[in-house]
Amino acid sequence: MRLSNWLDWQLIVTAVFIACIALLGVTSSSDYLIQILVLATIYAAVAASWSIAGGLGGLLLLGFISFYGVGAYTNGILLTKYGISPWFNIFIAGGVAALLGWLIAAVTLRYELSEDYFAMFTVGVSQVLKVLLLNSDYFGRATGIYITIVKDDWLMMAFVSRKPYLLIALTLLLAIVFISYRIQRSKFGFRLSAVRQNSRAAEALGINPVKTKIQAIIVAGGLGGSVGAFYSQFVTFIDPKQVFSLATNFEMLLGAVLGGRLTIIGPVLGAAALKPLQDVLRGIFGGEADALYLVLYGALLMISCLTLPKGIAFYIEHWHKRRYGSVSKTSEARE
Amino acid sequence: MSATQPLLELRNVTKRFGGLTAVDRINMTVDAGQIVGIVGPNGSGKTTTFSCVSGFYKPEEGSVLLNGVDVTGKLPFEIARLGIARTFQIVQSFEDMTVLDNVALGALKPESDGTSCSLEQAKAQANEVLRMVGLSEESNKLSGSLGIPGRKRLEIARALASRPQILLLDEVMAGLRPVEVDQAVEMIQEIRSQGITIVVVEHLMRAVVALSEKLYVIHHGALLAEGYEAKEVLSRPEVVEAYFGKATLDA
Repeated sequence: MRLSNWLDWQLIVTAVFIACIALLGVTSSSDYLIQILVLATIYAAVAASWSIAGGLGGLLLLGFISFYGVGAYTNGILLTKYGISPWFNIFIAGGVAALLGWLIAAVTLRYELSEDYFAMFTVGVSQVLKVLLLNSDYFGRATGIYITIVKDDWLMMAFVSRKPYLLIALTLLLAIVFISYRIQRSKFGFRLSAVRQNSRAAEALGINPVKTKIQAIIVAGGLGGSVGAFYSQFVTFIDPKQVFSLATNFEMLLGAVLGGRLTIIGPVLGAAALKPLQDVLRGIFGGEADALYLVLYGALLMISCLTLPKGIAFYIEHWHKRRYGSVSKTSEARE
Repeated sequence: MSATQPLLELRNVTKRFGGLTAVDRINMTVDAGQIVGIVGPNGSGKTTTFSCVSGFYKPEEGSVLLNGVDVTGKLPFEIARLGIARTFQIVQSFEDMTVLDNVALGALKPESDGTSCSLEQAKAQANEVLRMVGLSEESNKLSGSLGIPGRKRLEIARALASRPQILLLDEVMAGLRPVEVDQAVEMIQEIRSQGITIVVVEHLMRAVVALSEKLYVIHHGALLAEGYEAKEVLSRPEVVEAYFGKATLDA
């Protein structure tokens, strides 16, 4: 681990940032603040998951909420119908979402669906899932699933206080960021990046682009599913319109794009900036002019998209290069 | 029938795009260790032939054999794993990666069974190849920042790092200055001396004559002439006619 290495630097800074948020949450007595922090952490975790396929892999995986929603329902069903602990469900939901990822990827990429249709297909899947669940008695139709929490129970991830959820959410985020970091440093990440940059040239070097992309979607989808499972446990109530909401979907992806989807730290920064900003605006303008905060939020998004097309992290990377440029050269020469 | 099997063989390879026959029943043999040249006027089907061999196009008819094994219709990455490496006429690089990483990707090429070396080994091999093609100085630069000669070298380096049996070079000398052409010719001969068979598609006759131990001339997608003496093949009347048109002396 060296600060002069951009990937290492991102991991270290993200970890420190997460630790600071944890400290802030633990010492705070405001339930409102903790609520915002948990939601922002969930958004960051989804954005970080997505960026493995949508950033590093350059895939237009627009309908990412499918995985999140499927994860949320996996926990909802397994907990309320079978009494399985959410601690396990987070992993099971990851598996179920990964399976969905494999299905989507296999259908679209095997048959060489072009990029724009692939994007539309993924959005379509999320809405089909929503309608299916809305009409299924087993999944509770439009009323969804309630998870009742009456007393603290560590084993069932049930807490009356909100604070433990923040710590769990931050741990989940850290885990996903670490996985993203490991992928960027692996042969798989290297090849995925090659496929994104130049699929033909990658193929000529023996890389199977279809398989590489499928793997990226499986990993990203699986992680998104785990976050969804945690989300359902945190809000204790899920319905199809909420966990397959396209508005939420794009808000989550926007964090990754504005933060810098090619980086590890970008999605975290994006979510950390966007989610609280939305809540602050709603707090200030929400009362009399209900929609005004959305207008302002939209305007801010447009301005940042225009001024930061490559995301915040792109500029941090430039700063990092200037700051450590000479250091990294000499240290590499020594190796 | 010859006693030794050719390394690469094209039998009646035909590729059509709609009504246009871009490659028309082409037969070729490339022996191990040879440098084989392919020339022909623009649009005669040279690059399409390459693409049929490297799997980017699937020929409608005919077959491509590598070491006597039919590899027709295999996907590009499968062909690459079998040991056929190619460069592209329009340079294709991973622009956001350093020169070293570009070449390391070549060294990471999976074998037929899908296994590959470690990242560290790949980078070490990449450094070696960069030294050979004279790009060591640029190894930490982004590949997008290289000029045309540098990028052409980079593409060759990347293909070389993948340890191919055969290297298909598609107009690697186009756009180079005379001095750079001489260096490129030297480099290609150096590569062959390491036991790699080379097929070059090239417009530059000087380079073709200097390199080719066997020459094929393609015209309108079909084989027009072939022979072992490049100069002699190029001076045949039908070849001259294909390039310059029929002389009308009686006018």
